[in-house]
Amino acid sequence: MEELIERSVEFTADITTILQENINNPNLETLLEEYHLYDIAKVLTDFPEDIIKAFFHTVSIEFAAEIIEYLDEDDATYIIKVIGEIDSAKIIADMDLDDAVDILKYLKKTGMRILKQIEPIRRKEILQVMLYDEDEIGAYLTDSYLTLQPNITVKEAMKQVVSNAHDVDYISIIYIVDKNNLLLGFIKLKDLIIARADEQLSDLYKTRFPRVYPTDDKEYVASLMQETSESSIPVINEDGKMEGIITHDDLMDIISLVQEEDYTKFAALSDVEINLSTSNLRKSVKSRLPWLSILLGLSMITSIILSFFEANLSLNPGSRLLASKLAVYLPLILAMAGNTGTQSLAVMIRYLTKNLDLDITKIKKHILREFKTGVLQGLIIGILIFIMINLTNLIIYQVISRPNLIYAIVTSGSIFIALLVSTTLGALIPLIMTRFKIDPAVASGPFITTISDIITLSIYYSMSLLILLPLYIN
Amino acid sequence: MEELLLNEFQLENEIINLINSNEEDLIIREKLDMYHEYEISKALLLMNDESRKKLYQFLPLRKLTEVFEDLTPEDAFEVLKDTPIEIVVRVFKEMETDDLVDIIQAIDDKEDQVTYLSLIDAKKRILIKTLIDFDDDLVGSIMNNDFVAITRDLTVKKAIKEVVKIAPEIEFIHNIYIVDENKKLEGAMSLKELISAGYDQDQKIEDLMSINLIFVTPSTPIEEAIEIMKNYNFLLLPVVDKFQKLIGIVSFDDILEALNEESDEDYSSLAGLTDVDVDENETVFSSLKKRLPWLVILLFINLITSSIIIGFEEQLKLLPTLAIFMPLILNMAGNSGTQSLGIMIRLFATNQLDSKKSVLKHLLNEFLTGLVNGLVIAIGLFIMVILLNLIKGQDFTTGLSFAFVTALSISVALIVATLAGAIVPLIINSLKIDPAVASGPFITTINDILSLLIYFGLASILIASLA
Repeated sequence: MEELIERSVEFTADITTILQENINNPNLETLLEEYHLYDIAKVLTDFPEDIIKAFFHTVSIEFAAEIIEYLDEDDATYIIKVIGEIDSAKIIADMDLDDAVDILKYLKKTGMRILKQIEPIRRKEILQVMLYDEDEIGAYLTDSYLTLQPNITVKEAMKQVVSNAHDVDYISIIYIVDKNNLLLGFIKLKDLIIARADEQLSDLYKTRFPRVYPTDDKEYVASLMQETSESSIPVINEDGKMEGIITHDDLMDIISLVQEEDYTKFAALSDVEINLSTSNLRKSVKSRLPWLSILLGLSMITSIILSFFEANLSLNPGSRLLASKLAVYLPLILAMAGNTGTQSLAVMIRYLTKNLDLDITKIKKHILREFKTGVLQGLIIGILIFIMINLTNLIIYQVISRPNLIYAIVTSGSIFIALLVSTTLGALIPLIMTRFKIDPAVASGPFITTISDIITLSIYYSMSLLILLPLYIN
Repeated sequence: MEELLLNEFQLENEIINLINSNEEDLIIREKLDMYHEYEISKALLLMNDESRKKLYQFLPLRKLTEVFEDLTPEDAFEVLKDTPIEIVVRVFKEMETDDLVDIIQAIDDKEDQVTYLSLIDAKKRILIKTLIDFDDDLVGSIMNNDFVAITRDLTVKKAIKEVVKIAPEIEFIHNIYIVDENKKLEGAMSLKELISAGYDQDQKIEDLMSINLIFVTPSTPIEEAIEIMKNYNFLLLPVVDKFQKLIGIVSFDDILEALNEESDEDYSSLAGLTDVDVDENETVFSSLKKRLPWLVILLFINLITSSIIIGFEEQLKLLPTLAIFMPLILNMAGNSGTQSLGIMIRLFATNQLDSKKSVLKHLLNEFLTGLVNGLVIAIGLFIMVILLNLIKGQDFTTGLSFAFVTALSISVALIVATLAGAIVPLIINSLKIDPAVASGPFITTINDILSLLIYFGLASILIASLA
């Protein structure tokens, strides 16, 4: 690894020197050819504005577009500000559709102004992708791929590939379309180059394969691509005409984005970028406080419920004694129920992310398993608590009195029910949310803990009031 | 989407019917070739033994292997168990190393594992053995040796010929690697570059290849490989040994799987489980095994909260309202602790806490976040307590001082809990205890204890001043 850092430092130093010495040299692009665009992009953003300006004057629009594709939105915004809207428009028009759209969206008003500068045909294409929702796969469309017509020979096909390969980014899979752009099939470049020259393309290309619509959910498409292990998937419209493709790098972005989002939601954080160098107080409060406020509101329900029970428990010294005894095991019961709820929630959320097709029988089986797990866990933890309470009483009072025994039974019984309910709820809540089209990832650990607090507390106190209160009043 | 799924299911039935049809073998073969191996793999699972035998005859070895590679390792093993040995041997010979590793690892029975390992040819077997020993977090566990390597002195024409020769064996030939006679990695170029150089077939590869290489070693953490592939938009990443000899590649599909596993780990630590992944055939017993040990440990730690409350029983009898806000304060402290732990787990996973300075910076940030959150939540709670008191028609002055105590308690508890969510994992990590111990439930329990002490401590002062 150290070696990797060393080499990357070396690249950075080389690129810096080249840029410093040749910023106005028309051959700059050739000099930089040996280096990876990502490294060049990284180095470039550290240069002063006049050098950046000069750089973009010197290099071709195609090269500039590729460099900007490698920048994150913040850096790209900075570069665009430096080189001005008119020049930016030319570069953005040449970028990959999805990358262009990302930047224009990020720039908001400036982005709209730049969009107006782009020539009409390209503008229309950009606008179309722009209109897709963030969650729809259409937002990730790329139009930089190769297509071939079916009725040619392998030789002719290879000729076309060789002459067009340079202009597109992705050639590993070549798509076969008819004159009207209707998607017919695909052929891997690898299969094309090993085919005999006189073979007909129509005999070779594959016609059965997954394809998606631009409005399909990006998570769905990502898991589909993962299952097929192909490096691209075609996107078609309702008429079966080809709209574009989704490539492996989009897939990687989608998957890491989705996982990061789901995970942070699970920890009750929103919109958080886990990066030490860019984190600050404002961002971190903003990602946490909204959740905490909602949870405070929900938690207040526990206090309201408790204050109703309390009214019944403050009547006489006997009931006041019971109230204080109930408080002793309250946090323990709540914590245990919360813990099991969080465990089964995590399992369910991961299950939902990984499985595309929600098979009812499988889900039922899973819920049943969670229920059984809850029963067994409740039993074991309940028995442990029962033993513990009696042991404590034995040590303190030397004897287990009848009220104390019943108290132990009620407490451990409540734990049993609470664990059972929470474990099942943890699995059910995300499912219910999916049914109502709410993203199940919103059901965070803290959310389930709070819900389980409310339920557990109600169980514990109603059982106690029913069974224990008469014993303590007398 | 539903329509699409329905279609897929149809395809599987189509495949099964096709295999069992009376058409000529050649025609069946040709038709079978039209299906994606992913579809065939799904169909394979649905077939009976007889149809499987037929399918093995119809499919060329390469495609059959791809079908097995598309199955989950567990499913693949299930099917292989009932497959004639000679076919297993051939499939194993053809299969990518990393997929083989997965299948061998999916075999539960040690004896079976050895048996199947012995079916793999010697050279691959040694590699697999070393890979199985490898830490799951390192590139070595996901790399495979399925790549195209040529020498620098070739012309474009010869290079293309070479690629054509190797291509059928290789899954992704997006990149071509250039090595010297000792297999030392010297350069790389994309297939696209090679193809577009096709107009001048006499060019030398060494004039076209890129020599500034990005590569990793088998002991590079997967997390770093993921970052590199994301940043550079790579489909393949070469793996070299310490002499820079090219020994394998990591392909994007393996990286995606690794991403999934990494995410599983994050969830497991936040939820307090040994493993968050469920298997369809998982038994109640195995899911208990993952959860119960944690719960029992947590139960004992939680007993501390009970003993604290016993210590404050007198105060509870004097001021029963105290119990009313106990769950709320504990819950809120637990929540903010979980939030900061959530960040911490990711920071650990992405190796961002490597210097003292960054740790201190993060802790300061956590403290300030806790302070701001604590203040805002305290004000909210203060108002709510007063409202609740008004509704219940209690004496305003006692209500006011009680509201003040709860608000103060929650703000202190939130600051402490936020910090604890960050500090406890750090301590556990520096003590070299398994960091998985610092799970969400564990942090919540610690925070329960701390906030109880804060709440009841402050309340005792209030009661003392009232008396």
